Amino acid sequence: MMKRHRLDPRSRTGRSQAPLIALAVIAFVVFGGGVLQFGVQRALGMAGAAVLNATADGLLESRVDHRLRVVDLEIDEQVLDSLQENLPYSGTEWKKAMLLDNGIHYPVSFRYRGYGAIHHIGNKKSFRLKMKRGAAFGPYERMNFLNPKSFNMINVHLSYWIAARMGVAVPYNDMVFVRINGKDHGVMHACEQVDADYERNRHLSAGDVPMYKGDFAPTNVRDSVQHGPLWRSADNWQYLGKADSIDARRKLLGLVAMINAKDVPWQQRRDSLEKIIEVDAFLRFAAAMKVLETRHIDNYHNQLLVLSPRTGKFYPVLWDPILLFAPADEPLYPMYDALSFWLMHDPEWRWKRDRYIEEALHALQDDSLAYRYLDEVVERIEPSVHADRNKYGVLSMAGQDVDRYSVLHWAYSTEQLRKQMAAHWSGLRAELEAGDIQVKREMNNVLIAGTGVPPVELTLTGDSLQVEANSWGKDYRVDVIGSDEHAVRLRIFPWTAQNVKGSSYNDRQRYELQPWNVRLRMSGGRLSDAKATTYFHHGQETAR
Amino acid sequence: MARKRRGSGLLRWLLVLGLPVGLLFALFNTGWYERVDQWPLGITAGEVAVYAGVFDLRNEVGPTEKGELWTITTGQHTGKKKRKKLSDADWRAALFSGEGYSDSVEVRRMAEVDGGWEIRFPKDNYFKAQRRLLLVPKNGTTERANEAIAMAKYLKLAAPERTAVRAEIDGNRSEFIAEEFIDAIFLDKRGYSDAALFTQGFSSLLPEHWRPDTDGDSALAEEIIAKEHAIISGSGSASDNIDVEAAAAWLLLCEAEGRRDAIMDEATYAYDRSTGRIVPLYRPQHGSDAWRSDGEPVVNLFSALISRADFREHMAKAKTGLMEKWPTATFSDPEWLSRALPDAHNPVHAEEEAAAVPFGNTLADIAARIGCTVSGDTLNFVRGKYRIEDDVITPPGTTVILGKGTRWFIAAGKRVEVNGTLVVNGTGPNPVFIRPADDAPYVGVAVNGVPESRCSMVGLQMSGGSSADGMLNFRNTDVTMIKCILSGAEGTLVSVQRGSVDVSGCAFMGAKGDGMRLVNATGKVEACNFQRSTGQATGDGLVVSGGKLEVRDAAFNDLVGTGLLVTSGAEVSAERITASNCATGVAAVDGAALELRQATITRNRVGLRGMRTQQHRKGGSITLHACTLEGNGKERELDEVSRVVEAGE
Repeated sequence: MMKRHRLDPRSRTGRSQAPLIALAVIAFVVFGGGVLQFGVQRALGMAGAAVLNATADGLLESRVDHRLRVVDLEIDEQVLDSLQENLPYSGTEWKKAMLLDNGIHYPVSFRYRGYGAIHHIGNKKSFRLKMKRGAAFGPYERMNFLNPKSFNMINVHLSYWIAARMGVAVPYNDMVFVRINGKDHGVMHACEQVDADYERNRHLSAGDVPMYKGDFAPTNVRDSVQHGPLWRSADNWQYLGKADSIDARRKLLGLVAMINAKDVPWQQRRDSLEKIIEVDAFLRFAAAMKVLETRHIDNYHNQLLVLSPRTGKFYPVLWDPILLFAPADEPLYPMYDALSFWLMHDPEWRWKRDRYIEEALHALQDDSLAYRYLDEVVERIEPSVHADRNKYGVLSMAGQDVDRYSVLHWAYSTEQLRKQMAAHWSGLRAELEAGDIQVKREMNNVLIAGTGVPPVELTLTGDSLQVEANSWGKDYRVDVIGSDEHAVRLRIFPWTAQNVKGSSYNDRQRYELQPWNVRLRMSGGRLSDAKATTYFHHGQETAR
Repeated sequence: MARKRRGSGLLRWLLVLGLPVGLLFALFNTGWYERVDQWPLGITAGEVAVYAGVFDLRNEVGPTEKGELWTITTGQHTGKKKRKKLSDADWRAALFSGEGYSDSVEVRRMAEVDGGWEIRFPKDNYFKAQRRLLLVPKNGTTERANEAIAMAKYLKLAAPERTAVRAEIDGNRSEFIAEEFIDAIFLDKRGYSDAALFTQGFSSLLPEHWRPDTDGDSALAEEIIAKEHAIISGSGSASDNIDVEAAAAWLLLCEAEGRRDAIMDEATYAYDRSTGRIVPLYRPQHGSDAWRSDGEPVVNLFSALISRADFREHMAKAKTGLMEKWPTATFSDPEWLSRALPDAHNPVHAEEEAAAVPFGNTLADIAARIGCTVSGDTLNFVRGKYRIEDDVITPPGTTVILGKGTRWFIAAGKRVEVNGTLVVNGTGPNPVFIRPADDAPYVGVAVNGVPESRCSMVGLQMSGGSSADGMLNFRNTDVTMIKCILSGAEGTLVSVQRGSVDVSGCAFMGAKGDGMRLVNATGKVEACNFQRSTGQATGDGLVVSGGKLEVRDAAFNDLVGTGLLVTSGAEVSAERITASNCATGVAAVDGAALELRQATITRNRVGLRGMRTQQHRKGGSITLHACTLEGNGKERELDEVSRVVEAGE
């Protein structure tokens, strides 16, 4: 009786439960459909995110005092509709819009940007503004407003910050809260569109400088353009700006030729590279790539080269890094492109890169600089994240699964980012410090053997010592870095790294450290003591 | 009786209603209510303001409105670009009137302040000696900013003047603070006539601010960067590179106001060329920019200064004075500055990179490189030829002595900078030569004086420099020059900035720039020849900018500019001078006073000139005592604020 009563749709109880049952059925069908279409894991992820977005975010106050810059944009709704017709291809035409800042209306041009689904699926679409140099974002004339790629929203911003403090050239970028036509568009990552005015914007030069962009073809023609590896031909680089390109083109051709040349003695290649690129800037860049552990900059895209008018050499600008966006088994010396293949080839350059890494880890992790900055950004962004009802992200390993996510995703992802940073940097330091050394004395010869990251510093004490040094050996190089009557200090670079996949650059190549073995011959004097230590102080051995 | 009662009732009603209303009108139109800070019986200021809005009829002025009334009517954009691309932040024409002034001006909205305006007055018609003014809306932070300005003035820190005004802009009346614009005129009024403005910020997130913005003058930017590097590296005395008192005051004020933005965003500085020092300027905060990240600063001059004990002493002293005057002021410790990020552009291990630097600049290095001898802190050059292939910059306190017969040949584009004293001991038969090593010019020889330093040049013959600041440039040192011949420079031949001069029997010829330029110097110049400009010359003979000078028996001939030019409030007495075949014989400009005795001014295009170069300056004054003026194209050319006085008039 009771049971029948419950099911009777005419009864009050039955009537109140009918919608719930219907909802459950619909949910089951939809979810079941989702399961059929996406598989259990993806469907669960997406459904869970949708539920959390509706519940957890729904409890939060949407009117908040933003601590981020608020970007107010006004654009005709019909124009927006026409741009959204067939994204990403339909969004690349510039349209008129207005930017409201401090009570002033600035005329700007608006277009959508980005090829990946994260940029154009969902309601938070990435866009670009073009404006006058003296407008609200001056001196920058083109600004990208990007849907953050990760749930924590700050991954890319933090990457730029870390790289900048390592001395790498980066674009201006910050987190902002965007409103379009009075409606909240949400938290976005604002980033300068790097162009030939990069140096002018930084008061480094009066006008445009030669700049090359190594990237995929523009969105509207990308599918129809064949795109080869950047360092295979100078033609794969796009020249930006109005500066005279003759010298820049000649240098780029030379650089490409030097990267691809076969059977060139290393010393000659090294000297040639040093004449065309700012090696120190590229080593800082390589160090940042390792500290960030990104694989989003490669032989095909996201590369920018500026020809410095001061040195006449190229230096790189970091573009679109994603923190911790690389496989877990990434080697200590990865090759992210054909140029890095040669940069990591030289033991001295590797050492310099390693020192930049070590210096960065000291500041970022030991002095907690990165965590402190992370905390500050989180504090600034938090109210805006709460107000953002438009959080769209990739919810599964499939890049096209862009859907709403919740504030809980954001909080969890932020915490994970903190933990993963700590884990990655601890692991990186352990890699740098791993290894051991042995020092042996055989008559007037000294034998040093070991594993790990070079170089080795060897201090020999005795009387009137003469060492056969300052020569390039086949497997090592020795330099005297200090000497007096009773001691000689040597720096030894064992030639330890081997390219594990052949002699020229291919994807996923790496240099791997090999055990090293160095024999030094004393050509004069009386040796009493030999002490070896490595730069990263992981081992020290003395032979008497 | 009943009618009487009705009549008196009406009167009562009129009295009951009218008397309080009348009293209220009387009360609010006397204006004394404005002086009451605290109202009794829980009456709030807001309630008083509402009543005042109704009952205070004085000139239709609101209850709290103060200051002059300015009227601005805006018109069309004045920019050359298409109007559709222009915003309110671009200049537009406007009609401005206020306090006896009415003219067409240009206005634009302030980009960083909601409701703020910037006004640019015509070049030939300044308003209250201002070319540009800011109109900042009065708000809750106004009082705090005014107090900060007062503190800045107390600490002798250059700060803009502010005054309350009412402005009616396109019919909308509102209260503003009119604020002096920080520009060259601002500096001029504060005695920095030879200074340039620049802005700079040190936030790690805003790399576009790291390099000094000198409005495109890259040479100046490099000079400032060199000064900043000297401060950061701790080389030499900080006071040689920055006005330490001003820096301490500036930092203290930033702390008192909680203005991290001053360092993290962009601040305004002057670079005083005459002293070679950076001078921080105080600028009130306009926009809130609360969205800006606190972040960490990159290494900067202030983080370096704060780590120095002597600088902290300066700050403590300034703070004590400030606390006495403003006991309620609170200061936080700028410890956050000490967390500055290291200079990312420095090599990882400076000592290793330093080892790779080919040439050091210790006295021993310099001596080994050039071939002179060292004795204590003195570099001695004896008779002989010395080739200078690289820049020579001596350590502070060095004395460089060039003995008779010394010949320096300086390579193209190189310079010698003596941080101490330069002594040249040439003689008639054995002069000291400084010449270019190649066909191309070298930069020059600069002397940055130290306290008590006195440079002496006797028998120097120098040519072929290119520095615009002077082929031979002295800063903050006393200079004696006897029987020297200076010729053939791409810029100015000799300049002296602050110090005393005693110049006699010297010849200055064939320069493209000025012959001799004295900035804020005192002393005398006698029996000297200033002669003939060469090439695309633009220069004058003797330029005296500020300071006091006596000129005797000097000749100025064949110059494309002015023979003797006194400017920027200088006081010059010239006796028995001749000026002939010059574009202008003598000129007094911008508040300068020139007294001429027995001077002969002949065959110049203009004999005497008096003028001011900017509206806020005074004109020039020339007094003549028994002078001869003949054969000039035009005897005198004076603007309305300059004058020539014949003695005895």
